[in-house]
Amino acid sequence: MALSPRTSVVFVPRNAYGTSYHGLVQIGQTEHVVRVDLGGTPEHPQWRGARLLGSSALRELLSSQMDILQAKLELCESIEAFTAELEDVLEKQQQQKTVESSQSAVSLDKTPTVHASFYAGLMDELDAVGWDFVFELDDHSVVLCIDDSSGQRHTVRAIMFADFPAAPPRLENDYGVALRVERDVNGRWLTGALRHMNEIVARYQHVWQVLRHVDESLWVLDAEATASLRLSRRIVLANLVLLELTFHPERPETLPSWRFLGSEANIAPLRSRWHANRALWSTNATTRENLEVLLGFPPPTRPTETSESGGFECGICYAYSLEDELTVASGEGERTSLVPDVLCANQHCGRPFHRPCLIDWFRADPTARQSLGVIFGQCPYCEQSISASTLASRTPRM
Amino acid sequence: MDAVSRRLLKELQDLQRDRASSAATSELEELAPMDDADLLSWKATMRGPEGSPYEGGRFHLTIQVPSNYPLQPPKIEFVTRVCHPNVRFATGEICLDILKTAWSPAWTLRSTCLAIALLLNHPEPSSPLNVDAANLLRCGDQLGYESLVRMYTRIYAMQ
Repeated sequence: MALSPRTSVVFVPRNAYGTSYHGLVQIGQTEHVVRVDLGGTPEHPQWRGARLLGSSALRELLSSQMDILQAKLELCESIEAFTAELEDVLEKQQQQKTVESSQSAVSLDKTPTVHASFYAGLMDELDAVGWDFVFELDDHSVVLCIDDSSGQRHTVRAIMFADFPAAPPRLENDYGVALRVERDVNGRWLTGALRHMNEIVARYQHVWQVLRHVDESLWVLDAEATASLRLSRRIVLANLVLLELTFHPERPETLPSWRFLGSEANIAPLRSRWHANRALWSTNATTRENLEVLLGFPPPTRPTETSESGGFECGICYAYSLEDELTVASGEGERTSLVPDVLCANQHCGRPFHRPCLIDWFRADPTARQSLGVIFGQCPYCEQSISASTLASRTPRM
Repeated sequence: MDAVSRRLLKELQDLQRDRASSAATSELEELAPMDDADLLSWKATMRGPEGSPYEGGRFHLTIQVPSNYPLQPPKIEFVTRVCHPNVRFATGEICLDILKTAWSPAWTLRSTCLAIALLLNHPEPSSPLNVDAANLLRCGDQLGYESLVRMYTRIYAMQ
């Protein structure tokens, strides 16, 4: 932080009567000339009506204070008093300036120095990649895109650090697949990243098609969040009955791993039918056709009202998906949203809850008990005992 | 939007959807936020239950929703003076278990107000906030109690 520039003010009388003064105002390294002319006659000088004159540079410097100084001048009794006033104003202004400049200095410090080699390296990389693949570009990151054969766009974001291209960029994509960060034969990072992304798109093309079909033909609950490559889908079968399917990334047409959600009384018959018919899953049929065979009834399609969540909203916050604030706060950069995953076991109730909502309620409820990472309490609706694990669990990702 | 506002908005939507069907039958005449900008302050108007000494009266209530609702119950008070063993005559404070210890997130603002309407007709003189009214009931003076309530209903709730 710079020292506050020194200010000083000196006035000398221009005549023997003391009706006019020359002044020298020093601010830091520069000096400004000012003049003070008193009102009245030479015989009877009066401070009322006195005028302050200064160079345009000083006037600009004091722009907001000029009127105040003029007013103060007229109230002064002597040139000494005015000198003190002027010094005071200048000092305050300099302090303010110092604060401002130190603030801007701090904000500048945060931006690391970027060398020309950064931009030279980046341009070289982008030329090699081909500008057709560049989707977005700003001063520290570039988004590359690939369109697959079905016309869907896949993107990968590369975040460059100041010492790029010497240091590798960080690669991010929406698919939960870690991209290899390595140079290609010509020593370039981005071409390697794009090639790897192409491999991934080709490899998972099939599973994406299957998932898209599932999203379109069945009542999938969290379809909004399916832009990312989550391999599991929650499908509504009836009121408060869900089927969660997790597809195999490379053989999505085979029987996915499955889990029924709902009260035991509702899901037991479905589960036994599913077990009995499991062998009938056909790799040539669509997921919807297979579900119909295995369940013995056609699964419902999505209702036209988009707000409907099949009665699967959390009984506490009344929302279906809950942004996982913990994940967001921990800065993993990956926003996951939770769906209600704890269900009341009472078959007449079967209310779903978000685990965090239920835990919050148990913490507010003096009758709830905690033991070894599990909180035991009562369902807020039917008072049946219900428990929730306080240990974080995450939705399976690839 | 935070979780409280989301839940209150949902309750408001449900209220508006059910308004046409339930307004005629329920004692709850009105339940709405005081101001569109603030979902945490509500007002309610209920009719005195038919066949009760409160019949014919209209009672106004204020509802303050805490910022951690529904983990904490809303604060509900009568604005209209009401003579009831479980309502403090001077302040309108209500003694009802679900507004205190027996609260559960399963209650909504609407169901809580309906519970208060039910309380009007089913006083609990063993935990009184209005001892004079409670004593009449505890002494078995049903006629005296009902006349007293009817008088106050006429004075304060029938303008």
